[in-house]
Amino acid sequence: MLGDVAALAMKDVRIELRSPASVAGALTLGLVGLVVTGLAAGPDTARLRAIAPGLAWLSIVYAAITVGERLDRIDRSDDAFAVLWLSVRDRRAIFAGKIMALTLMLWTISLALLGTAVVLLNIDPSPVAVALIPLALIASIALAAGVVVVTSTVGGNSQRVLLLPVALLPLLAPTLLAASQATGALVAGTVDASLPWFGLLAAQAALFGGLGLLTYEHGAALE
Amino acid sequence: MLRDLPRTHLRLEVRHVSKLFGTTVALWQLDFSASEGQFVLAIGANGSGKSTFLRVVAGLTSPTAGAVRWTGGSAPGRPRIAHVGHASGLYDGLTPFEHLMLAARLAHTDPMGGLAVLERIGAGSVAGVSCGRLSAGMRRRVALARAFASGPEVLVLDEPLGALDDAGAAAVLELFGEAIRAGCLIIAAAPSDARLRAIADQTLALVDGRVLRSVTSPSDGIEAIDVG
Amino acid sequence: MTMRQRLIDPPAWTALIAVVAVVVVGLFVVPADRLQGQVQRIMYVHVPSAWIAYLAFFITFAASVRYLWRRDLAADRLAASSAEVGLVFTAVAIVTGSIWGKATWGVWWDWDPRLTTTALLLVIYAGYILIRGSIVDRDRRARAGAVIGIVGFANVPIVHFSVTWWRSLHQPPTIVRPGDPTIDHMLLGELLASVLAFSLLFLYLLNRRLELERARDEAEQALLMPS
Repeated sequence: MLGDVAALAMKDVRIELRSPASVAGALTLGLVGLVVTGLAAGPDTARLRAIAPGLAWLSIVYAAITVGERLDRIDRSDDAFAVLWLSVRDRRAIFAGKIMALTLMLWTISLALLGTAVVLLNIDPSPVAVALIPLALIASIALAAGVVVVTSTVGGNSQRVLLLPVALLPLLAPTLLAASQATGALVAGTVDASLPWFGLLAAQAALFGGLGLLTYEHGAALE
Repeated sequence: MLRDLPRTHLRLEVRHVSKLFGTTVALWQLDFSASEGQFVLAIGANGSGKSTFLRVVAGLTSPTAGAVRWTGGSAPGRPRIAHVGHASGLYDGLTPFEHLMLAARLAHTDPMGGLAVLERIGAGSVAGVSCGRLSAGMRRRVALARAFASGPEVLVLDEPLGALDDAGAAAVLELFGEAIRAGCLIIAAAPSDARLRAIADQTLALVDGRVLRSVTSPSDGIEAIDVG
Repeated sequence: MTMRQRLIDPPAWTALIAVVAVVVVGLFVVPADRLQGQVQRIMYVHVPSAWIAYLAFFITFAASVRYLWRRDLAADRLAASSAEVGLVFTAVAIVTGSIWGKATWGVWWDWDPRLTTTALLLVIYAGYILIRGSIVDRDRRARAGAVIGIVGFANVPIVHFSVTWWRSLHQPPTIVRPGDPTIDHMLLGELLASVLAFSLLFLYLLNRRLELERARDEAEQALLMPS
């Protein structure tokens, strides 16, 4: 099962690396968002710093939805999904593989965006800000799991570009909130304040991942 | 040569299967059965329900009413099925070689088997080219080779000779013969095709989602119904 | 159903009379709350609406589990109907909660954890209904609905926990809450009666909504009957 998961995830990552449209697009959008918000809400750096974690994570949540939607669409565009569905022994491997691939992409995106925010806003991060790396990983898993649970069940649908954010943003609200708060705490150097948020992110990841594994075989849309 | 499958008395029973899309009737109270080593052909005009029939048999679409039952086979109720639909199911960003490797990896089969098939049906030369740059005929060949690469007990094929030139079609038909002798059950659909009809053990003529006529030996009386 | 049959509808009359009775009693009979005054009377609508919102989404959750497990279309109809009726009560709970907040805290919206959680519920289930509406295939619509119905409800504790936590960073929750044991027995009795009356109304509306959903499925199934 784990081997199948890795093989399926590598398939998605390889396709993305050959034409990195979705990760590059999401990254660019996030960067533009940071700069434009600077223009709209600045130039008071103190205020910008206060809103930066929330802004960065909102961009990452959007990236999760758009990149996740595209990963699902690539599978469905030439009916490749039907082939996967029939060729995998344990179909939950398709679900887990998708989460793994999306997690890797979101981790990359989130680290790049957080790093840029630090530079743009002249933040002098405390040394504990290194913990942003594992934080971004846990948050990426939670986001990926939530996005894959919903995209895999909604299936090919002409209205989904609009509907997926409507369904996903409220579901992912706790992740957005926890990741922003933890980032703020870590940049300020208060590790203790960030720890409960780590727990909350882990709970979201476990909830989406666990329920997804339980329901995938019965709930996945084949077309 | 394809390797013989272990004989498991694989059998398919389709009972009173109907499928609606909204209020459109795609299939209507379909009944039929087939077993290992057979070639079943569904013929019918465009929109007669052939593709839906194949997807229901493969387990890719759930019927609105009725049941599809598999007995025997390597895993009870779920034999190894390979489906090649209208779409080839290929990723534009991957090469045929990568598709075959992934299929073999997931099916725990020898990746060389699929490559040999790819070679035999005349697509060996494009194994390293991105699928997005392949012609329709080449894509079809890659999809068929991948289907064989997973060592299937059941092959479900939608217009398997579509987009193929004569040489390609001949090589594919030869493979079908070998697969049937090896114990594979092949269920295919096409608008009337003499080459496929010649090897069919059972032919179903579909009109508007209903089986108009079912014939159990090749080219026996089906000529009377011109649905092509 | 004829006009006459529509007028003789005992469940409808029971629910209507019960709701009117608790509203009249709540507005004119029970005394005003000692601490909060007249505005506290809105609780006789707010509390039952909020309770029904959560009850409705729990029903959606349980019915969704049953659908995925048994492929029982009746369970899917219940899930969809309950979510839709629940959404109305959720909206009522939020609006009445906000009015109460304006009178008590002086602002319409204070990011109170309960109201914020309920507002997120409103959008989660609005998404649920929109997604169902976008899927034509009956079976796929049911499956997608079931997965979102399950995940959405299981997420509620995490949503509530996160909002409570986030809120407590700025201001300790010292507000007098609805349902505190400080209200006296008569007020509590009226509150329980209103919960009961609104539950009757909910059950009545749910049943009507289910009839509609059943009729839709029957129309589709009628096509499958051998002629």
